[in-house]
Amino acid sequence: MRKVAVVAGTQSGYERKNRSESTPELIYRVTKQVLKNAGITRDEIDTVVVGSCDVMDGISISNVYAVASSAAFLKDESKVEEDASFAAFYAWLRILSGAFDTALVVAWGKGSETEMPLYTGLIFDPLYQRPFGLEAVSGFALQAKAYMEKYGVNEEDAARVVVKNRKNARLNPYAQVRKECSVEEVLASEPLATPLKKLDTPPISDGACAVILAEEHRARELCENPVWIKGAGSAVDSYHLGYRDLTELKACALAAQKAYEMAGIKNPKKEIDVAEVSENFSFQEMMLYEALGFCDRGRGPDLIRKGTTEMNGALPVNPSGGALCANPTPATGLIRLAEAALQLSGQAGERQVKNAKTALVYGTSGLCFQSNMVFVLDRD
Amino acid sequence: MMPKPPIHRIRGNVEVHYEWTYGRYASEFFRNLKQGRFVASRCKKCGKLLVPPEAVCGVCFADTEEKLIPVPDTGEVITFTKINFSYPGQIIPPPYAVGIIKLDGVNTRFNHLIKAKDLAKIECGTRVKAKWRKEDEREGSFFDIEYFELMEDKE
Repeated sequence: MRKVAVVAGTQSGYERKNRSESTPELIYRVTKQVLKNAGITRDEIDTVVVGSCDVMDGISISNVYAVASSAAFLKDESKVEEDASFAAFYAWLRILSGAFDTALVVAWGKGSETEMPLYTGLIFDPLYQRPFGLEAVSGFALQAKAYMEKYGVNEEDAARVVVKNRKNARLNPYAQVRKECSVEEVLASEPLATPLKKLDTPPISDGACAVILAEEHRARELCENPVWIKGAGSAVDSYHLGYRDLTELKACALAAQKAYEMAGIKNPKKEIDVAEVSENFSFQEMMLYEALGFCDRGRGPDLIRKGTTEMNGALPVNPSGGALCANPTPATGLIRLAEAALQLSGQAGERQVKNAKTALVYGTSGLCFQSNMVFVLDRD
Repeated sequence: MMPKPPIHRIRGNVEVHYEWTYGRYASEFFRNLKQGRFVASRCKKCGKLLVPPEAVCGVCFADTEEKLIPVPDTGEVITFTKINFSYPGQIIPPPYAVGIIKLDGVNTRFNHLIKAKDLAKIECGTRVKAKWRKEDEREGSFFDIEYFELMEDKE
């Protein structure tokens, strides 16, 4: 099998409302920057895979709108209409196939330009689930409550996740939310949908992210320290919330298992040095610790209480601040990949995890972790 | 001279209308709701009862039986959330509770509103029963059940 590396990445920086750039201008900025970072021209890109969302953009097949800005003119180009970690997955597969040697992956989201609750509400089917007017916050609240109940997790544990991620985001110049907060402030924030309060939820964000993948020979020409995709796995769970055990994240665990097998990871807790995960909501980061094999079922809160996943802990999770500090859906999962690559190439600046050699990336689409994408990255 | 106001956005909205076909199983489900009862589809392979009923059991990728099976309108709250904030697309003003409900004897669950004299009385595991609309008000939709009410509120 070919070896594929992440050879360059860039991020726009994230904000609540970007009124200075149109969507194509935003895409053009990150596309130009990632080509510059890789030291190549657009002629050296073989295929472009885009992660965008038609309903958010308000344009059918919205990637066709971005042909000029994403450097795709007259190239092989396609998109995924879900989290952009899947766009990276398809780009990786395209290179593995041997048909292409380099791929540009670019994703964007401008949550400020639409009504996000209406967008997330449309994830629910019109026949059985949509009549109740749920959206992302209330949907994830149902999952958070089920998880709390099953394992005796409390709201303080969830608040500690927020405190950790916000503290990390302070050192991430791209992050949107860069203000530290205390457990008390999270607990006292506006109750939205029990058990979720305002500070348990991600911000609405505008922003874009781009990465370039390349097969081994090209990767070694382009960069001194390529970050290799060692393993990848994805899995999707049942659609109806009521058809799943929401506390279990079965498909996430399966995606991780596939990625670990491919990467030869036997003990993720020991072998993973840093993880960038799309936690989306506070409680959910602890659920991911469990599904990704960082701890046993129901023990997610222990990791946050003991500080294991803090920057100076044994397994730092979300040095970037995660989705709780910037969430330009559907680019969120690609940001995780870009951040993990920065960590392994030693370019993560003030948020650098020392000597990180193996990283985990998790991206997700749909409500309550229905679609799951896991990458394991490493370096020479 | 007055400064020019910035031109920095265009407002728009997209209104698209749909007519979603129920298909056989949802038609049957809603026809039964109109008559005041729940029906489930049974997987031919694992035998599990699915509500809402589907033509396929996703776990087995197997057909479900053509004949839908009546199931009780009582069950328990699997999980719930009390919604305290307003957002576009909401169906009633907050505060209110939405939950995932498992009917007795059924293997899957579905979402619905939960009403209680005291919202604090709702817990995971709380016993609930469908509060049906009057027969002449039912129109073959999920809202032929106004909400699920706590059994203890009925007693």
